[in-house]
Formats: sequence, C-alpha cells, structure tokens
Amino acid sequence: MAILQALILLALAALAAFGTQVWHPRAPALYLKQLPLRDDEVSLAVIRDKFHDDVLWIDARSADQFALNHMPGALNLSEQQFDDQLVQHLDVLQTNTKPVVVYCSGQKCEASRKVMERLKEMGFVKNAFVFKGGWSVLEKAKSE
Amino acid sequence: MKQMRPLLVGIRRPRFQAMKPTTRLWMLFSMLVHVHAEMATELPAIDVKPKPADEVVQTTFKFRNKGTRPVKILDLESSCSCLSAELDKAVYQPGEEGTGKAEFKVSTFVGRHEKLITALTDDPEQKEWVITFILDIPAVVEIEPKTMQWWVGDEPVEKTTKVTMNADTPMTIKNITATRDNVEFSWKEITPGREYLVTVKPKSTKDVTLGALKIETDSTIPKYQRQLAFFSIYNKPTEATKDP
Repeated sequence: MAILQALILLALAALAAFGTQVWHPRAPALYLKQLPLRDDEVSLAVIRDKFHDDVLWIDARSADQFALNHMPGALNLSEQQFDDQLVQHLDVLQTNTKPVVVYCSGQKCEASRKVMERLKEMGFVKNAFVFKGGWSVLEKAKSE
Repeated sequence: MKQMRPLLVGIRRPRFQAMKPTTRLWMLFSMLVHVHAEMATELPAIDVKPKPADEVVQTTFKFRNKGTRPVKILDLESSCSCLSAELDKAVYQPGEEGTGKAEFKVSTFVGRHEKLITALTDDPEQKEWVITFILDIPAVVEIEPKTMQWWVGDEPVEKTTKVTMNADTPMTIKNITATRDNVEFSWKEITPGREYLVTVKPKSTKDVTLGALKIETDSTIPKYQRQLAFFSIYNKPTEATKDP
C-alpha cells in the first residue's frame, strides 16, 4: 500500500513538473547548456548590455595568432612576452577609461585569466574581465 | 538479447543462467563498465626544465591506452599559446603505447608553471584527457617587487625594488632608464655582481602614470641584457568598479 501511495505521489509530481516545463512562460532549461559566468568573466551579451560594446580588448594569444586576426583595436599582451609587450601599451593603458576585456584562444586556455590577474596585481587596470570562450567564440560571432 | 550476445562470450551459459537475475544484471553492468578508455601518461606530470639560454625547448612523452576500447584523438587544445603538442597518431588501440612531442616557447617566462594540453577524444567516458606539464624555468634575474605602486594622491614616497642576479657568473647593472619623466630613480650595488637595490620616487602622484624602468645588464645571454621593472600611480579601486 505504501509503495502504491509513493508511486501515486511520484506520478503527480512528475505530472506537475511536465506541466510546468510545457506551459510555464519562463520554464527553466532541462539541462544546462553553459556554465554560468564567474564574477570576473563576461560574455558577448554582458559586453553589449552593460558596456555597450565599448571596451578595450586585450588579446592574450601569441603574436603569430594575433597577427592573423584579432578584435578591432585589441592590444596583444601574451603571457610569454608580457613585459616587452606591456611597455608598448603603457600609453594606451594610462589613458584608458573603458572596461578591459581579455581573451585567449578558447575554452581551455588560461592565458586570459593570467594576464588579467597580472595587470590587476600590477595596478595597471581596475575594471578588467576575462572573456568566456575566448577567440573561438568571438570568431564565430563575427562570422554570424 | 541478440545485441547482447557478444558480451556473453566467455561466460559459461548454464552457470550464468543459474544466477539470480540481480546477479546477472550486476555482472552485465560490470562488463559494460569495464569497456572503457583510459589514456594516461607514464608519469602524472611531464617535467620540462629549460636552461637559462633556451628560447625553445622540446620534450617527448610516452602514454598508453590503458582502457579496453580504441580511442580516437579528435583535437589537442593548449592552456597556453607558449605550449604546443602533437601525438604520433590519431587512433590508439587498447594497450597501445603512443609517443607525444611537446614544444614550449620559453621567452621571458621564469619560475614554475603548470600548463595543460587537453586531448579531446571520441570516448564518451573520457571525452577529455589532460596532459600536465610542469615547466621550471630558472630565474636568472629576479626583480622583487616587479612593480612599485602608489595610489593617486598618495604621498610621493620612495620605494625600492631588489634586483638579484642568479646566473652562474656575476652580472652587473650597466644602466637604467625610465619611460616617464615623472619619476626619479637611482640604484646601488649591495653584493657585487649579485644584488642591487633600485630606488624610485615619483615627482608627483597627482595623475595616473604607468611606466617602466629599463634595466640594462652585462649578461652574455641576449634576453637577460634588458630587464623591466614597472611602476604605477593609479586610481584606488572602489567597490563599484569591481563587477560588470
């Protein structure tokens, strides 16, 4: 008897969940498509909505990759040539008032976070973020 | 049941059929779980130790498919543009050993760094196989702190940074120049050829100033002939500037 009651309750709960999923105007997704942004990460939507697409891009990929393609106006500042490249960008960073967004090649690269953290530690930027997804997302967005 | 037949090869039918249904299910589940991929390197991490003058260092590493199904490598992604890798083939059979090659561009890296290569595979149970590299690059010239900082409006007090030469032979500072006129600086030798103290004082902290000190040494290795220390006079961050 107890099992039957439990099954009935389970069926009712499942029915309610199904109804919510089908008819609720803001039903949550059945599965998470993407991990949520961390506090220091931004997406294209955030850049558009919060920063009105007015940011200073920093490209943390290698100079070779940067030479092939990059975001308009981006500064190239990679981990392996950090000091030498930073010296070249001091004037821009000194007068910059825009949020700084750092990207690297893709989902697995960590260079953007390392570069951002280093710039913050040095006191060279105050409003800096990592672009989630990196160049692969930006390149895809550019082609769409 | 026809589809399951291959999995039952090697099981003596009468004995299998004599088992309880739950035992049979558990046995089948165990067999299914056992069919897996497990790409693994011989060591948990691959050590890369460049010499002071190295610009690029290459290393090879061995790995094995310790699983029971073939694994196809779909792509390799690096956590750093300084590190690239390639494997000797695309598909590895169960038990097969493979060889990988990795190349690390040393450039101005110093100290110990962990970098990862992620191999994307066709195996649903091991979609990503992470190969860890530990890079240990000798700090021939150490500058500590690397950046001297003041906030806008601070008292323009003197700050110092220590330059330590760790090369086999002593190195000396030949000259120092600043990229901004807003600072005064000087340096003195603490231990000949080994330790130097550089003192920097802003003339004013009224405006945001980001600059560098170019430190010239007499190193025989070109990349250590010019070192950089930085200074910043910046607006103090507020809570409002932290979140997007």
